[in-house]
Amino acid sequence: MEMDVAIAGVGMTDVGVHEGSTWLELAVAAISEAIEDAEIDKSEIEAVFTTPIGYTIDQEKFIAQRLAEYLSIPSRSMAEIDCGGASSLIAVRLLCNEISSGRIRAGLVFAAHIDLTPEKMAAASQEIVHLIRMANGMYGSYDSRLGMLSPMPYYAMSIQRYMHEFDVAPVDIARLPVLLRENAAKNPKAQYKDPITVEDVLSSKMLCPPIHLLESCPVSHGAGAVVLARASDVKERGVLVIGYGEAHDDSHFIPATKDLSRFPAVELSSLEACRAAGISPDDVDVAEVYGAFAGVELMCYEELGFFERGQALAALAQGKTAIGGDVAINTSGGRLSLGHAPYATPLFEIYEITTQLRGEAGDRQVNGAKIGLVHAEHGMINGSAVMILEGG
Amino acid sequence: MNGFLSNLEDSAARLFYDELQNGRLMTTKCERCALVFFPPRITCPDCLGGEIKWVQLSGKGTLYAFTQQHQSLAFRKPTVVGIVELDDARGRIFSIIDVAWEEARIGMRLKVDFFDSPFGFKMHKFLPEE
Ligand SMILES: [Zn+2]
Repeated sequence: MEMDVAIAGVGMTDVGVHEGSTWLELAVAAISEAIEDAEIDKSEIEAVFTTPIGYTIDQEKFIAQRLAEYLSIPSRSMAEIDCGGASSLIAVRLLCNEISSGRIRAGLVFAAHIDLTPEKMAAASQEIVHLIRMANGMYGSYDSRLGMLSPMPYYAMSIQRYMHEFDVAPVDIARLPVLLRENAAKNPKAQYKDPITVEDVLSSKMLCPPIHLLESCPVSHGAGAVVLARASDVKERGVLVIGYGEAHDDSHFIPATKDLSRFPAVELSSLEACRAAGISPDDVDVAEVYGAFAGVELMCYEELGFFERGQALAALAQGKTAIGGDVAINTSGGRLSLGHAPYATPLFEIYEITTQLRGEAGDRQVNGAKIGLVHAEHGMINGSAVMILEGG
Repeated sequence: MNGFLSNLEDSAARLFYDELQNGRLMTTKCERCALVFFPPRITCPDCLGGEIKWVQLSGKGTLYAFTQQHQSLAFRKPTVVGIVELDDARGRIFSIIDVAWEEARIGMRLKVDFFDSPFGFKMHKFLPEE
């Protein structure tokens, strides 16, 4: 696929709890960094794409318009894209299309994410009853009646099925948070950096069995921004977009009949992206995988095509996914330790892969990294998007 | 407590809960292609036929997966929640599994029962079939 589009610049805030910061303040910080990184003048930006700013907040309307006005960026293409956790990667794809169509030369995607903490939601106070209804409403007319406020039980049952089908022991999964924490310790933007052990993971609080606290992503805040431009306009630090794939299963959360242990949308989106880029998953040097919980992250490694079905746990144990392994996955620290601010997360992933492909990742640099993969999903991995990037 | 729950999305969901108050687990059947599907809908998810008929389910099924909720409005640990594959409809129901955590097993046979939920209406739950 000849897209002729490059990532020109990236920016992101620290991931974590930005107590007292507004979405607008976080967005401005990320956008300023991305524009400076792209070494282009703000006047060259012709498109502004964004996402909503959280699942359970008093959503302000017209986010893109507000930001463009605030930073004085006139444009010829503007949209707010909402497709759950995959939103900002889909926004990047739409901007790529705008650029390859020739209508736009350069544009900006940004996403800020702020959410209620699960603790505040579960306290169910009258002041936030409208936000709790919003959170509960995500689970439809039937599951919502179980008092759902989080999708974690879905993920727990998906992991349970995988463990059941492949006879997986808890320790096999518990190795992943340990590795991700090692990576995060080398990333100044990460939310959690203190080392942990397998014993720490297995003795941490059991949230939704089989998911322990340390196998769960946190609810984080943060913002990310990406400047895209025609490849021919971008200087030597540009990273090329060489493939994209996207698929949405006809399910949302619990599939009606399909296996809960499979994510067909991930497999399909990876196949499409790799075919478009003319590569095989084995050619990927560094990947950011959108795994909100340790078990499903490992299941996604298989659906993406990095390992055969049932083999991701052995690959993890053998160090194949570590920095220096066959494919370095989630060198940023991943959702578990970098932190997870869903609408912004795909832009954090692009930030990490771009940094790696430029050779600027410092202590966590993957030597000779040339091909990178970015993955995002929505629902309970019912939909998936994959982008392949190539370094210069 | 009920005030914290979101609105039901369609008339099929409202009718489903109305019937549940009378101790009946109901769903819809497509008159065009004969598919019985769960949850009930105002249109057939296969052929988009709009002519649907309400049918009562036997309430029997098999436990497909289960867990416990950590933070939620109700049914937190130690309550077990799980997905039941229904014998006589295409689809699965997410429900309370009235079995101790240690006793719950994937594949166990279950049957529906009803109880008064903390939200002020009758809800379904599943017990071992025996
Ligand atoms: Zn039909």
